[in-house]
Amino acid sequence: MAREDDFSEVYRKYSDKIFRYLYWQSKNFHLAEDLTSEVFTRAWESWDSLRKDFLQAWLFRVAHNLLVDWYRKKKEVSINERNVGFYDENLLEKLGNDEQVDGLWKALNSLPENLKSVAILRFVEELSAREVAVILSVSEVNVRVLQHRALVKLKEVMNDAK
Amino acid sequence: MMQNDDLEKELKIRGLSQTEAEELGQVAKSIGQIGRFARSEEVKEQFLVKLLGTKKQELFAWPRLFAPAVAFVLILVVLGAGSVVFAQKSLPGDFLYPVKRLSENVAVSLNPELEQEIVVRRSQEVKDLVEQKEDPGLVKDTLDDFSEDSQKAKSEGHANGNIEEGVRNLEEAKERSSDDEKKQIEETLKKLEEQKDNNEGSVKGSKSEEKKRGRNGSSNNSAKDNENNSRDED
Repeated sequence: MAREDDFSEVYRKYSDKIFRYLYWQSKNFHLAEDLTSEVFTRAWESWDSLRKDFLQAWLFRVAHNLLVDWYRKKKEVSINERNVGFYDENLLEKLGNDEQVDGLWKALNSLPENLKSVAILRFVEELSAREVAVILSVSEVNVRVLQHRALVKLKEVMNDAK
Repeated sequence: MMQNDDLEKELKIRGLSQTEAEELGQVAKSIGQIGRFARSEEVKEQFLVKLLGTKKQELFAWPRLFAPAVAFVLILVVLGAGSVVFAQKSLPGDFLYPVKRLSENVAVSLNPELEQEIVVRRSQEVKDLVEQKEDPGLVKDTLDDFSEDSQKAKSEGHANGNIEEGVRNLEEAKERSSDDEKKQIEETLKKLEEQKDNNEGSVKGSKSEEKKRGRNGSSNNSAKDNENNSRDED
């Protein structure tokens, strides 16, 4: 049971982070949940060979790649059907009625893809520049440059919205 | 985890003033506050149950936990029962012989009449040891056990024809034994004969005592009768 217990603990700790990343990237609640399920199904399938000290970055990387594939392959990424179907409908409703959430989505969506990814990972999920660099396959210096640009742009958009 | 101070430091390194860095730090902070939400625990649990079968495993967790212990106990029982069965053919000096003796003690404690069967077994063991030319020390020890068991069987009144069978086994063993062993067997048989005589003597003695008691009893009765008769006459 130790294997299942370890995995469950990791799922409870990181699944919201992965879900939020996917949600802010797509603003598609059901897609975010489906892809989150897919990320953790893949994690469970290769659990024994996964480097546990590198787990968070691995999970985000898989999530990021799944999302990229989703858009690239015109929304035809194969998602394991057996894990689809559990959605927090209350949260869906709450997010749908929240103006601040809508404002943030508009601000994030105004950014180019690379700035948007950096903004979500750095400012929402508070990952380190090093972790973001690994996930997005860029250098740490590049992450710092991108985060600066993202913040400047976000400040402009948010001020305009006011 | 990224701290706001760290972000501001990083921004200042890029040439921003304190105020500019603080303003951008504030933007980052508000994004974090709006952006972080959590799904319900129920949804997470449903996913885990579907992927891992968590509830199913919890239901059967105890039997699973105890499975090794149950298997171990079963192995012990099977090995134990097996060793008792195999032990019945063992001879003194064998690894399983103590198991045979232990099982005999248990059997006799449950059914004392089996004591006479034990006597025959000891005599058979003597015969087998002599035939296999085992250590004379073992033969002597087994003969001692035979004497002890036969005496016990007799004293408890369980020795019938089986003692004779034991004697026959010893007689056969004597024919094939070495001089030392022959001497030991003869001594044992002699002891057995003496025990027999003593027992018969004690039986005779007790019978004559009973007769005496019977006589005394009848004389006492006649005295009482006389007493009663004299009262009637009065």
